[in-house]
Amino acid sequence: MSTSTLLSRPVAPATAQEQAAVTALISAPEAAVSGAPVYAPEAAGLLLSLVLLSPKEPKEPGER
Amino acid sequence: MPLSNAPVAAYAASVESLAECLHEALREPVPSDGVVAGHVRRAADTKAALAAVRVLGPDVFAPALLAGVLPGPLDREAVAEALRAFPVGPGEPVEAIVLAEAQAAVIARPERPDAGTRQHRTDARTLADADWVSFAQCLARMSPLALPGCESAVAELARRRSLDVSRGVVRAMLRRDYPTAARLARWSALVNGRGAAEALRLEPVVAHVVQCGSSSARMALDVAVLQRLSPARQEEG
Repeated sequence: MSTSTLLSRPVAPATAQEQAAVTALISAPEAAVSGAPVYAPEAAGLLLSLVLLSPKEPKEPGER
Repeated sequence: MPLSNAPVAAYAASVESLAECLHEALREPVPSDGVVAGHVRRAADTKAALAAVRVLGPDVFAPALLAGVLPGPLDREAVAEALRAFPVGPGEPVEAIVLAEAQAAVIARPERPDAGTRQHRTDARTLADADWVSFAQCLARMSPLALPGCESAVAELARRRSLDVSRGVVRAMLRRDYPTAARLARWSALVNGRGAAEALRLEPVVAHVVQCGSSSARMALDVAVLQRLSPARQEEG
């Protein structure tokens, strides 16, 4: 144990589990590939129904 | 031994907190009680605070080294405490060993930040023959070494293999792994400033990473250091 002016109480050396936690954070692997937007056929029906159900565009007063 | 999530989560939170303090210290004058020491003193969990100091490696000295001054005595003491509480054990990965040795070298330096750099015990032989993907992955984990005044065999190897560093940056960008891209871009910026043969134009990388990837305080710190290291900024200064 050291005599530290910074710490009021000495800190015990890390246990194996604590050491492993530090090593895991230092050696964190790179992130998984973030997927680009991909074609989703199941979304086509939803998009089509939204188009069909959407309100018609407003017309100019003179065209009525 | 099974690794419990509890210390990892607590340590990761402390890493974020310390990275935020360091990022702030890059913009503001360093507080008199030191950035690292202040983080350790204020922390409710001292062990987690010291773990964060070990995880961030020489990045804890980034405000001082980028300003061209030595870290203050309190900060050096805090790092010494972290190295005592979390000593490098046998069988640790090369990046853990190299980062700890670099921290120890900085706190042992007597005078100027660039005064004589100690040769790290761990040399870069394990990296020298690695294929470019493995090389870039390992270099990204050692990005806290990509600082001025933090010389190492790894930095020299990065300069010699600058094309592989550039490939690593581009690969990380294509994978949308922006934290890795920022870390590798730090190496690119460092070696570009040291006359690397193949220099990557970093401005688009920095701009894209800033816009898309500021997901954590640690990454924000990496980006801030990258901006300080980029040749365009050096020319401005």
